[in-house]
Amino acid sequence: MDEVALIRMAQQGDLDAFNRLVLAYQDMVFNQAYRMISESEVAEDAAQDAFIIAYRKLNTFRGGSFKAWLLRIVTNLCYDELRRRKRRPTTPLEPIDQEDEEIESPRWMSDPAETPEEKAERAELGRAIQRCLDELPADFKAIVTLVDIQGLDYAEAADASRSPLGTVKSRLARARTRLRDCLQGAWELLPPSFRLMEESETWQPK
Amino acid sequence: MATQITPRDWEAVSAYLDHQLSAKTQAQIEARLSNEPELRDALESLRRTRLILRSAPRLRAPRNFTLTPSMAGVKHGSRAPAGAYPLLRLASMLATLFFVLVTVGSFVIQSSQPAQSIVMRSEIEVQPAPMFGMGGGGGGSDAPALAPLATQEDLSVQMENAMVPAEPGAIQATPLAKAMATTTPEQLQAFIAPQETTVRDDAPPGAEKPAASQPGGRVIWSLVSVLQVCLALLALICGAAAIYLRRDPSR
Repeated sequence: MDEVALIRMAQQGDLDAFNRLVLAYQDMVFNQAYRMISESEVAEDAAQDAFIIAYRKLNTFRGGSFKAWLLRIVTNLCYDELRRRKRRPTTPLEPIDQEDEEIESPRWMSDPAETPEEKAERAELGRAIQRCLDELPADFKAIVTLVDIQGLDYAEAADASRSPLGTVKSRLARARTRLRDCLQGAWELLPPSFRLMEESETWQPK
Repeated sequence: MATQITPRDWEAVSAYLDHQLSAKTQAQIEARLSNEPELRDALESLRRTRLILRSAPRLRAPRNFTLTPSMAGVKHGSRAPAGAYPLLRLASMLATLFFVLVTVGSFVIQSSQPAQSIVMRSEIEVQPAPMFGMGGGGGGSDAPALAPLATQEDLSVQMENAMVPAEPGAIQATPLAKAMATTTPEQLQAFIAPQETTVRDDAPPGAEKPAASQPGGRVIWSLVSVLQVCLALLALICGAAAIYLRRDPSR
């Protein structure tokens, strides 16, 4: 059954149809929450709340990108959490190891063909990216996560963040510029195939 | 001389990377990229940054976030039937619409009633009153004036008297016969419906009596009022039920 039909059925009160949509989008929603909040358990709560709110407000969805609509809900919840933290700073829930590094508990999607070394490098890449994202202001973090990590185009990102297109362009450029230096060290963590791909896309004069 | 990369340049290069520039602006950027190595370095640094971000490992949801009926706000065992809200909303809207139409329609009809009663009364006054006597016999005179309270019984009596044969040799028309000879169908109709003439004679000049004072009219207006009340109640009940189904306890 296609997404449009599931949404229509869910709008008429079919909870099973809505839960099928949840299963299709829960990884994406959790990723958005985790990238913005940077704590697994809090991101879990935000993702669950996002789906509850989405079900109750489903009749306000008037078509367009359902993905962007869901991401808007979870992004707003993450903004609320980040504002709450500013007022009342909290201790991170993840345990700290002997080097004062957080031991992250999120499960990365794994490729069965990955070697243990590749798996470890990929986990380190994820942590490096998250550390750099955490240095950004909330609105920059939201936009760069929506576009560069979640893969939304500019129009969808504008819809999900309720910002004009010009604001999306500006924030994305500034976020990338600030991440550029922070992520320099992460370049070596990329799989070799990715680095080769980048070199082939180097700009050439026409 | 090294070119200073301005924030606007960074924004243009970032948008160029995502093919989000107009054709004209893209051509301008490409011309600058050909001549400015610093701008090319900026473009490449943004390209690498974007690639690293796109390579971020995706996280698997730690559990399923599917909703239970209690999470969804659906009461256990009394799940609202699918489509109840749209039907209730439609019923409320239609009931409200019909209520407005009936109310406006009744107002328009009531507003036009005085004009109709005036026309009807003037038509009655123009017709010469049919005249029937009280008894048989007599004659040679014009038909007498119509008795205001002439009833069907009086008419039958008159008819019987009219059937009494005249005295031999006396050829004379009874009052009934004379009246029937001169009565038009409209006059006869007016006689059969004595209420109108009663109203005409009893009412002071210029007085207006709406048709609603008639028993038939009163019944109709009562029905209209009942219909208005029913439609209003239906609209309120359906609207309240729809709002109840749609109540949103979340923020």
